Order: sequence, then C-alpha cells, then structure tokens
Amino acid sequence: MKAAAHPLARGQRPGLGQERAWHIFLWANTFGLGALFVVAIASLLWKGGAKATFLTWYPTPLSGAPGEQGMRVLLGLCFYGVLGWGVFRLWPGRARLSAGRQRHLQLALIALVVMAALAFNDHLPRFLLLMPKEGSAGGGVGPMLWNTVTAAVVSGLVTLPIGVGAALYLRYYARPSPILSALRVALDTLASLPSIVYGLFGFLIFVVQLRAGYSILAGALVLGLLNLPLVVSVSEESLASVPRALEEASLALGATTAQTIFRVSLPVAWNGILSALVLSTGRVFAESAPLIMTAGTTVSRVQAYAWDPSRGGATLAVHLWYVNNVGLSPDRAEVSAATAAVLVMLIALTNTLAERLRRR
Amino acid sequence: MSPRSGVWAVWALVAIACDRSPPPPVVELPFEASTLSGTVRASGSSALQPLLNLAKERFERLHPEVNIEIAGGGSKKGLVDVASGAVDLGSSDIPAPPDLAQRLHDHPVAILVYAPMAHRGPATEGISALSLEQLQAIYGGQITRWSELGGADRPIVVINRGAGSGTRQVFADRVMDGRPFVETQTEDNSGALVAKLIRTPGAISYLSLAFEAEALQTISLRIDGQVVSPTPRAVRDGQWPLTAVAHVYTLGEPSPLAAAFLAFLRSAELEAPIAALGGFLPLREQAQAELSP
Amino acid sequence: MSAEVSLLPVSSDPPHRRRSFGEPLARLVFTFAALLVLLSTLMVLGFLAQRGLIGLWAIGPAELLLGADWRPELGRFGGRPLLFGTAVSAALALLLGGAPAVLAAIYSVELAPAPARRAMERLMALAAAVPSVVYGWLALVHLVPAAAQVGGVLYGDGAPGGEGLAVSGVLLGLMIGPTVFLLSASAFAKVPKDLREASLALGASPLHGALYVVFPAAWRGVVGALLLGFARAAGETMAVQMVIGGARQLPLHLFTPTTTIATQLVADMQNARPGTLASDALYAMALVLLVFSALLVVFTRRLLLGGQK
Repeated sequence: MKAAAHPLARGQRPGLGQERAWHIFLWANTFGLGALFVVAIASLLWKGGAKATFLTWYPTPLSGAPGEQGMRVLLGLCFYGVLGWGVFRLWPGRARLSAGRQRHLQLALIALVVMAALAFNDHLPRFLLLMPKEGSAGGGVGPMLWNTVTAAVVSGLVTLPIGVGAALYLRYYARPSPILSALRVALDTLASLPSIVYGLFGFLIFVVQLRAGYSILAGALVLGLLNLPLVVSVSEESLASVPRALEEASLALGATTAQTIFRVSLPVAWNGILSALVLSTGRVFAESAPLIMTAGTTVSRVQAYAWDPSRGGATLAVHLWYVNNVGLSPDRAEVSAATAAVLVMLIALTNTLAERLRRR
Repeated sequence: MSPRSGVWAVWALVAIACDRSPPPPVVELPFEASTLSGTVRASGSSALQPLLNLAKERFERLHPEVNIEIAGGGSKKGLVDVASGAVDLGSSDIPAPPDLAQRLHDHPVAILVYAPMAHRGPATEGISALSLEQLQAIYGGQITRWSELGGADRPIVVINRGAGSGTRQVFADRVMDGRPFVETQTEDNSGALVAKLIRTPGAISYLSLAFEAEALQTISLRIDGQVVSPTPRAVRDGQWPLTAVAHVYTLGEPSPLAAAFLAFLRSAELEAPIAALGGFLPLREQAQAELSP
Repeated sequence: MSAEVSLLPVSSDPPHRRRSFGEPLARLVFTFAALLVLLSTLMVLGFLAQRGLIGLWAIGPAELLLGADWRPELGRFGGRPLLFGTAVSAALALLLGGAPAVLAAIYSVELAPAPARRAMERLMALAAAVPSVVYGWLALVHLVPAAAQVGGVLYGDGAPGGEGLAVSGVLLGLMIGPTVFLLSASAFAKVPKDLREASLALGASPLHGALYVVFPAAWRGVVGALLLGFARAAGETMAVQMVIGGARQLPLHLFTPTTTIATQLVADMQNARPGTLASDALYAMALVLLVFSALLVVFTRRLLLGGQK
C-alpha cells in the first residue's frame, strides 16, 4: 500500500477533509486500543513485577514439604537460565566474538546457571517459593507453580499423541466417508464449546460419576480435550505445508506411507507441531473455570511438590480467582498483582516461544 | 547498543536488585515424633473457615506429616462434597437435609455467631442498632434508603449471600421468618463479601462475627426496645438470635486421621484461641443451651 | 475440502503394505487417535445432553427460556435473566471491543507502516493469550469503582455498587478485542493485492481503497471474527463472575447487578446435589449455551467456506 500516490489521490478534491477526519479517527482508534493493552499489561508488571522477580538478600527457609528442595533447584534453573539467556542474547559485545568463543561463553554461562541454581536457590523471589496462606498475609505461590507445570505436562502428554495422530489420519489416511465428516463436525464442536462446558463435563465424570474427588489429573485431561481442536488444526496445517515434492520423492524411492510420515513429513513439520503444543500449554496456564470444577482450589501441604498428578491442586490462574473470591488473606491485592504478573510473564514466554518455533 | 537491548538490560538490573525484607519466621516443630500422617480435605461453610484454619495451623504444627486442606464454597457445597466423597470433612452452618443425614455423621464443633454489618461511612453514620422488623424490611425490599432508618439520604445496597450459603439459611430462619428475600446482588464467600462491603458505600450484609473489622460497622439488634449487642454473654443468655451450631460432617465413620482432627477441634486447648477469634463460642460451654431447633 | 486432503492413495499401494508390518500398524494407530477424538466429543455431548434433557423435560423449554424468575432454592427455573445477561453483555462486548478491533485491524493492515503493524499484531497476540482471570481482576479493581462513579452520575443513587452489565460488557470487549483484531487482520491480509492496486490505479486514496475495496472483499472474515468473539464472550465465566454482581434478576439499567448463564452455572453447580432438579436445570442451561455456541460456530464456518468457492 506504499505505492506512489496517484496525483489525483493527493490533489485537492472534494471530500479531502472528510478523508482526513477518517484517517485521524482510525489512527486514534488503533493507537488507543494498543495503548490500552500496553498500559494494562505494564501496570500489572509494575505492581506485581517486583514481588515476582526480585531476588532476596536473606535466604527463605524451607517449609518442610517433601520435594521442596528439588523444586527450588528446578525453579532456579529456569529463573537463572532465563536471566543468563537474556544476558547472552543482548550483550552487545557478543557479535565481535568468533563462533568458537561464543560457544565457550555459552558453556560458561550454562555452568554458571547450574551453579547459581544449586547454590542460590533459596534467594529466589520469595513469592515463588512460599506456601500460600489462607487467612494471613505473606503467602506465596510455590505449589501453584508446580501444579501449573504438572497440569501442563499431563495435558500435553494427552493432547500431543492424540492430536497429532488425528491430524496424520486426516492428512494421509482419511477418505471421504461419513466418519470423516463426523470427525470434522466433532472437531468444530469441540472448538466451539465454552470452557465452562468442559468444566461441567469433567465435574460430571470425575467428581460425580467416578467419585475420584478433585485432582490435577482430571483437570489436565479436561484441558487436554479442550486443546485437541487447536493441536489438530495447527498440526494439520503444518503437515500441509510440507513440500509435496519431498513426500512424493520418498514414496518414489519405495518407502511406505508410514515410513514417509515418520522419516519425512513429521521431521519437516515438527516445529509447527511443537508450536501447537506450546500454544496449548499457554491455554493450560490461562484456563480457570474448568480447573476450578475439576482440580479444586486448594493446595495440599504434604503433596505440594509431589509428582503424583492425582492430588488436588490450584493452578496460578485458579489461585488468582480464589484469592479474590474465596480467600481471606488481608494482602489479597498484592498477592493478586504478583500472581497476575507471573501469569503474564509465563504467557509472554510461551507466546514468544511459539512464534519462534513457527518462524523457524 | 540497540534500544531493545537497553530495555532488557534495565530489566535485568531490576531483576538483580534485591528484596531485603527479612524472611518469614521458621515454624518451630515439636520434638516428639507424631505417628499421624496423611491428608484431610475439607470444604464448605466460609463462616467456619477462620475456625478451621486456626485448628489446621495448630494441628499441622503438632503433626508435621499431616496435611489439612480447607476450601470455602458455602455450606451446601460442603454437604454435597462430603456426600459425594470429594472431601473428607464437609462443614456447614445448617444441619444436613434428612435424606443426607442418614449417611452423614454429624460432629458439632462450635457455636457460630453472626451479625449484620454495614459499610462504615457517612450513609450509616449513627446507625448502630436495627430492629428485626427493620432488617426484614431491608431484606424484603420495603426499605431502600438509609434515611428511613435515621441515616443519611443514601440508598441501601443490599448484599445477600449466595443460594448455597448456610449463613443465608440461618438469616432466613431467624430474621426473615420465612418471608421472601428481595432479589439482590449476592456474594458466595465471606472473604469476597468483606471486600465488597468495604468497597461499596451504603452496603449492608450479614456475616460471621469473626470478620468484624475497622472498616465495617457491626450492627446490634433492637429487641423489645432493648439494644442487644453480639457479646458472648448475650449469646450465652440466648438474647442474640443470630447463632447456629457449626457442624462438620463425615461420610460414615471418620477415618482415624479425620477423627483425630475432629477431636482436636473440640479439645479444651483450642477453646481459648477459638473464643479469641470473635465469631465463635466453644461448644462445651453451651452444652446445656438449646440453640439448634 | 476433505477430498484433496487425502494426499497419498493408500488403497492403491499394495506392494508396500505387504512388505511392511509398520504400515497397517501406523494406520491403525492414527485411525484410533481420530476415533478417540470422535468418541470423546460424543461423550461430552452425550453426558451433558443426558442430564440436560432430563432437566429440560422436567422444567419445560418455555419456562426454561422465557420464565423471568431463576431461584432454584424455591424450585423456579426461569432462565430469562440469565439469557438476557449473557446476550446483552456479549452484544456490548461486540460494540465496545469488536468494532474498534475491526477498525484497528483495517488501519494497521492497510494504512499503518509495516513496523507498526507488526508491533500491533504481536501486542494483540499477547493480549489474546492473557488469562481471563487477569482481566477479571483488573476489572474488579479498576472498572467497578469507575462504573460506580459513572453510574452515580447517570442514575444518581440507582447505581451505587458499580457491578453490572456495563462493567462486564467493557471487560468482555477487552477480552475479545485482541481475538477479533487478529482474525480480521488475517482476513484483510488475505485480500488479493490486485484489488488494492486496481483501486489505487483508478485514483482512489489508500483509505478509500481500504474502506470501499478491501473491507467489502473481506466481509465474510470480519463477520466470522465478530461471531467467534461473540461466542467467546457469551461463554466466559470466571472473569464475568467477578464483576457482574450475581443477582438473578432482569437489570433495570446497565449498572444493576445481574447474572449470565456461565456465571450462574459455576455459582450454583457446586451447591447442587447431583441428580436433583436444581442440578439438572443447570445442565439444561449448559446445553442451551452449548447448542447456541455450536450453532454460531457452524454458521461462521459455512459463511467462511462460502467465501472460498
């Protein structure tokens, strides 16, 4: 649209004032919308960012829950890792180094991050380490972080094989049939359901029918179902973008369809599929209604950092709702701001990751 | 150095900057080893949450391997959850309905005391007591302005409890006497209700006395021309009508761990701290008083 | 569409299949995954429809959809306040969030410089992924007090709390805005370049081209984006629950507390004993929501597919 403007387009003609007004209106509308979100997100990070990112001078004592030390090391690896990666990427002097030097620098940074995670993990932001407090001030979100990760991993384990399998079926094996059209309708329906309906379904199955109580497993299964349409459609798209010539060459060399899929199509389409997985992880971070109905809103003290996904547990988003609507803590404003900041940072991270994967 | 990396450098500096606040105190654990371990899950009445939280903190300190999870949600949710096996303990301000009562075991733990509370502000200036008839008229929708009660000329923002709330049930029985509520905004949990009352000028609601706060005006009752405040004495003498027995239900016999926790809830050593919370009276003192219908 | 999707003619490929054991196995596994998707959809619909139809049968569709009084504790299941709250707050969201988003999309795709467009798209992608409870919390902290002020100016004493359709409309507008922006921006970007160049060649300004050429050419995509935004707004739960007030009544004006289907579902479901009429009525309401959003999405898809022919 940057074409050289036609003389008639620039010249004086009736309606020019009106056109200017339109232009200004559209600009103000666009700028306003963008500014609104920038301000909203920036104010979130400003209010809660310090609590969620500042390292502490004094070490935070352990609460005594089993597995807490391991969790802290893990968190330290992520935290210091992101820090180190940022320093490496953004250090302006890096470009002057040779490739070998850069590799050495990378290795040194990795060693530094591991050492920091082992030695300084009790200086991580206190908010990320502490247990939540129900009735008093000063609670953290340590177990919520771990619950969120558990839910994301379990739902990914459910969604990825089924979603990619269904996408492969649709792309390479399906022939027009009533089953195929039923499958398309099913995917559309799944994509259209409001998340609360998934929550009701999970509640009906796991809590009411199976009497399994609230569990992260139930929540993750429901979220896996919720993410299926996304994973299927993105995987299908990235499979469709695999050059046809590659697949045909593989077939011409005598490979079977399955061999072609595993040796040619999947490796080529893999980044796109991974980006679908990352996007669906972002949705697990963000969803609240289905999790409130299936995974509950509490945190278990003994199992706070357990591997067992059949424990009940609140994720970060659920905690944000809970603190404002059910909890009794007097510092709910600060806890909410910090939780929201952590959530937004996590979402920004997944979004950037998905974007990078898709572009590669 | 590009502007982008400048932004990042600033951010990294901010992240490296330290939070120099002292760490939270370490909880001293007792020396004798406890044989109890496991998890007890509870949900239900939000009016009972302060009491259960108190007991949970102390019980967990005595038994480091034990984990008590307490969620709110409302008395009816507590009853539904415990009956379906979703939780081990269901707390409720109201007795279980007859069809559930056969399967559930009742463990009364304390006397709950409620009071009407209002936003403290110009609208409610000087209103410290209301009669039951006035409360009925407020919640029935006949009185809609504070000026009709002697306050400023501001509307009354009536906040009711959610349909699942046991507190609502108690209020309906003791104050409304079966008259219908006017439909107003509702809040399901005490925590959010307190926040809303503090936020909204001219708002009134009713909740457990344990939530009494500086920013809230607790309203006494005028009964037979006499002002009754929710003091322990008034409750003990039966003058304060807004009380209920706090029940904790289990599905069948409680597990050994749940039984230990329930016993702890009703033990003598918890009586003084419970009384200090403000909204509860230990049940033992009240054993002779007939409070439940 | 499905016909050209099956790329490799498997059935006419017998020699390979005989040689390899992996081939039928892979086929079986992938087909199984696809059937699993189908099966789980049927399970979701089946379970909800089973409970929901029981409720619908017991209450009667007329009462459930038109009755004015929703008070399960008194055995009254009139869904009009819920439906009204859902429809009006979603419509407000379209007006306040959807329309500006479409305009912003056409401005940034057609008229803004490329870096501005890229920045806007990245910002909107982030904003679309921000959890709904975060928006709900922001609205609770900032919008509700502001609405109390505005309502006080407009209605005097009639709007002291601030909770109501106005806040939930603005909140939902904020939430669907980024989604509508992204979908309609991609619809505008798909309009062939020839059209724009033809319009410029005829002497039209870029703005004229954007509004009179690109916009009409992409209308199906825009309507589709708005409909999906509407469906999302109608189904949003926790964020709306934080700001709408939860009064089961038809609102007097935009600053009166009221309720929506989704918020009432989440508020009542946990108190309703499974198997009772109160619980089945909620499933019936969920069924209404489900059918509504499914119809909306099917309609959108047909609209978009119609554009491809």
